[in-house]
Amino acid sequence: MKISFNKAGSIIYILSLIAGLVFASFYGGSLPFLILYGLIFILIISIIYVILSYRALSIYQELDSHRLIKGEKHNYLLTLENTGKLPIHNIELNFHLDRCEIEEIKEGCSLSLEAFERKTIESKAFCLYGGTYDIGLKSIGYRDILGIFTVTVNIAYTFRAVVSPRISQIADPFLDIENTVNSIGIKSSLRREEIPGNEMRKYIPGDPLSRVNWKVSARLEDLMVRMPDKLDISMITLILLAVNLPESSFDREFLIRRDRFLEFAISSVWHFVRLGMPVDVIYPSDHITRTTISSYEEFMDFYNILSGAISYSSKEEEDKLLSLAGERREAINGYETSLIITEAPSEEEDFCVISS
Amino acid sequence: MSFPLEARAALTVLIILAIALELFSLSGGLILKETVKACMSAALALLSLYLLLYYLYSAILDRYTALKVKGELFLALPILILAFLLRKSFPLLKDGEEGFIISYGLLALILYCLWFLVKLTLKKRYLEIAICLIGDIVMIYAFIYKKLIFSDSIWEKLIFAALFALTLSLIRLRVPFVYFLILMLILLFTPLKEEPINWKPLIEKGEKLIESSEDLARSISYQFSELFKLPGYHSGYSSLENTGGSLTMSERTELKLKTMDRTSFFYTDEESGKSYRVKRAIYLKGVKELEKEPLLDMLLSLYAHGVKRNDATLFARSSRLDISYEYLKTRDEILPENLIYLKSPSGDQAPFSKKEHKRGYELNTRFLELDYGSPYLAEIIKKPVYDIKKTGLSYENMSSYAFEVYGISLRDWINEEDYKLWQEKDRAMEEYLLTEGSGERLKDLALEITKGLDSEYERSLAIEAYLRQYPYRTDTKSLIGGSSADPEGMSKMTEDFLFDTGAGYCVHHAVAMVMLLRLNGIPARLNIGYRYVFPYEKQDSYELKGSSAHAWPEAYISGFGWVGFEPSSIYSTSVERTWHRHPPKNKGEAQGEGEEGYREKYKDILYPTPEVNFYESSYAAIDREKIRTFIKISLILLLTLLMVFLLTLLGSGALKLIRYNRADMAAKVILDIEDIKRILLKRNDKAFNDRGLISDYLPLVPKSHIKEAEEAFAIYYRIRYKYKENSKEKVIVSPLELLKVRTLRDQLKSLKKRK
Repeated sequence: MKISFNKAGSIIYILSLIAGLVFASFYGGSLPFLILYGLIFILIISIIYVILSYRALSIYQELDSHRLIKGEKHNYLLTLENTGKLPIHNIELNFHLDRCEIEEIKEGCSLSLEAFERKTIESKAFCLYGGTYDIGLKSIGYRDILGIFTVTVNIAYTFRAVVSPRISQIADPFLDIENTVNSIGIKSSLRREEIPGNEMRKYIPGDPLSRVNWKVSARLEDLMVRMPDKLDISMITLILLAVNLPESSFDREFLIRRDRFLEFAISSVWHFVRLGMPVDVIYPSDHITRTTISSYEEFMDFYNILSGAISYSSKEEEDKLLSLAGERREAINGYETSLIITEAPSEEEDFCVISS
Repeated sequence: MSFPLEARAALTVLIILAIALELFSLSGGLILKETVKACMSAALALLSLYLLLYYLYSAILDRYTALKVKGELFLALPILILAFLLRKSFPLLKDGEEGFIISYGLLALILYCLWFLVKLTLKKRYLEIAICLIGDIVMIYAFIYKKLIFSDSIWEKLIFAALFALTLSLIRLRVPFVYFLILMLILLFTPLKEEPINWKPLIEKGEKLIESSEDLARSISYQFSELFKLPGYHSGYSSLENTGGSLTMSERTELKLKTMDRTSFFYTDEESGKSYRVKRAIYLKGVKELEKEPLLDMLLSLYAHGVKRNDATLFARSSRLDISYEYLKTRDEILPENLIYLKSPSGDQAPFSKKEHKRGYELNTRFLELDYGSPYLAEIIKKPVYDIKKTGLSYENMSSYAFEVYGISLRDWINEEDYKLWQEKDRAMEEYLLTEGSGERLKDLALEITKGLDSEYERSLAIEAYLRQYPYRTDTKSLIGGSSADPEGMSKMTEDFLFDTGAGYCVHHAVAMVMLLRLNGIPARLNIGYRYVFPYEKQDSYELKGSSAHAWPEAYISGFGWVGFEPSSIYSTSVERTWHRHPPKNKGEAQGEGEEGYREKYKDILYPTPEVNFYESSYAAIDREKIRTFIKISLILLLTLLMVFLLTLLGSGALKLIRYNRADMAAKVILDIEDIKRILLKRNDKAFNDRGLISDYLPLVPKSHIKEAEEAFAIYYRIRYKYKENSKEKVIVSPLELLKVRTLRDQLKSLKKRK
């Protein structure tokens, strides 16, 4: 609950009260005391009015689905009902518009309700970021009768949405760039790489000299080269290093960061699935969870759960994931490629790192 | 229309009716209270009935049908009901008379019209505001000037409450009227006081709180005063023993006095016939030993002059004074002169016990208060009678004389042994005639002042008058040397004061008088204590601040005893403060009437005596000094401000130069561009909205430099926006580019100068 005062209203009220006091100090009788008492009572009535309004107001919010997709419009219904016998005047409705826009609704819009009146707002809501967060009505501001103060109360039951990020190709440029500079791991759409094999054939001009098997060539008196063999390339491991923050600190900056993180993760997985490469994803979902995605169906399952799944049950889990990411970042063994996506990288860290 | 709005309309109708009646009365129309009552009762009953019916019908209709209530329909029914209810009480409507139907029809018509008007005004907001405003002004005016026709009745409360609710609802237009209706109902049932708010108890409590905080602060400073003594002298009893540098006036309460005696004296000026009032002044002396001899000397002198009771009361009276020590630490007793009774009710310390007295120490005194300004006393002092010697007046005779003239019991104060001692022993006056260290110049001056005067008293008065020409000044710094402790010091102080500074404070005036008296062969001594002038009005107690501490001289006039003088020009002399008592002109007129008679006689006092005329001359010097100090401080302040301004200017210039020299090429370009922007803005006379875009400045560039400016701005844009975010790579700027930007800046600057 937050109480804010209107400067002009407060000053006018205090001045009026002082004037009333002065009037009553010089003149006795009905008029001066009536003005003075009236000014005092109206403040008391205002406070009682705010309390009664708070108790009498019922709020219902509806959305056609709990699982939303970033940028997609969903039907939103807000019902406000005055269950009291006195009218509620000019309450201020504050929405989570920084993360979920609602058509035809602006920040701080006002509404009045007569006794037992019910008003319904039907609109379309669309979420701006991927992730799990509260949307819709955030708080109600009850303005007093004299316009001196506003009591803002957060609504008891918030509307929580799980918003999936868009399946985009945001990670492709990053992964393609890596492909050109890195000779190990992800080179092409093929899942195998060439290694010198055991089969031989005659030398054809243009064959690299390194493939010439000199012993066999000496024995056969002809230049013989080894035939290349195919080897299965290593599995891609995707580690999602999400930040462990309490829900109270889910501000707009956090949501933008989380949205980018989720979209990048989904995009990366989608990138490999399109190439037909299996991806091993390690991410926090209370505990450290490991899931292998090698088909479109598996990808869709992963896509649907990811936004709502990311969380840590304890600090230990976070430390465990961090140490795992650290190990993978330093490991060089040519057969295992890790893609580490860090949600909130420090200055020395990169948002996405490939190590193999 | 909902019920609260119907109620609002009903109240408005009621207010209009009240305004109409009030205006009719204010414009001089005669209106009976009964008529007012009947009109208002009729309207209220009508509207209440209407509202009740409206509420019931609308509740029924809302419940069972979808029909809306039409308010106007219900107005007819209450009117019909009222016709029967009011036919006896309403003076216009007489049952059985022909005019009844017509009168009632007229009332109904008026109410109908009013009703429709109000319905209209509720749609036209400004009309409603106008009605309310007129109502407020009329009612407040009528209330303040006591012309309210509804006064002292329930209507007064109802109309004011309704008007208040309507005014508030118009100020907060969108708030549902029901809340103001609730407020009105609460106000109707709230008892309202007839008397204005009495703040006195609160103010008294506040004053007590302030006093107790002040007391606390003083107690702390009192306790620590010995630990943290500040340099210089603060006025106060203890400080007057010093004589050195400047004196700071202290407002710390050092003594509290309590007295039942009058604090001012009334008299009638014989010439003008006007009555005046003079404040009572009292001198309290700090003494280490009790002196009873001066009282006996004085009584002997009066006895020798044959002064009887009637004459004796012209210049002396027996007074009471209770003294309590506040923020004062001393072993001395602070007492009035000519004591006849002394007791300390504190119990823990007896007077003259040689212990240091602290806060709370009290003394109850009675003393013989003398009016040295009285011409009758002056005559006695001036012409001593030596016919009766000390030894010629027995203890019994002296006691009975004291009782006869002043009603004092001398036996309770002085025992026979002490009296005999006084009789036998002549006072040694040598110590009061010491003038060591006095130069010839001082001696010559002393004799010059008293040239041609015979009596000691006249010579003393001449010296007093001479010294009163010297201005009073506390800011003597250390120009006056010497001290009041020994004759050499006193001589030095007198010479410094009279011949060097020519101004000083009470100590200097008093010491100078002592020395001048002694040089004239008159025994003299310095007294240190307090001088207090009582206020006109009596109080429970009187506070003596540190600033009341005072030093004054006493001369021993042969044949009378010690007489005090006031050589400090800031304070009034005894003549200026005289009680103006004269013997009765008619034989039957009583002398020394009581307080009541005294007050009765002087009840039509016209002007208070101009008590402070003596401030003018001596304060002129202080004022001049103050003006000089003020000019000095102002000049220093002005110079300091100028210095600060110059330093800020130079400092910021130097900082800018250092910043520019230390910057790399790109930063230098940015700084130069900032300069260019500033120059362009200064050249521009029109309003300019800086959106943060450098291209906006291009129209401000003179046509001759457009090309150079475009180049410079391009360089600036490249520096600002070329590098990638998070990239540590810096944009490289060539010296040639920097030169271009700098040249443009210099050219624009020179253009500006030419302009």
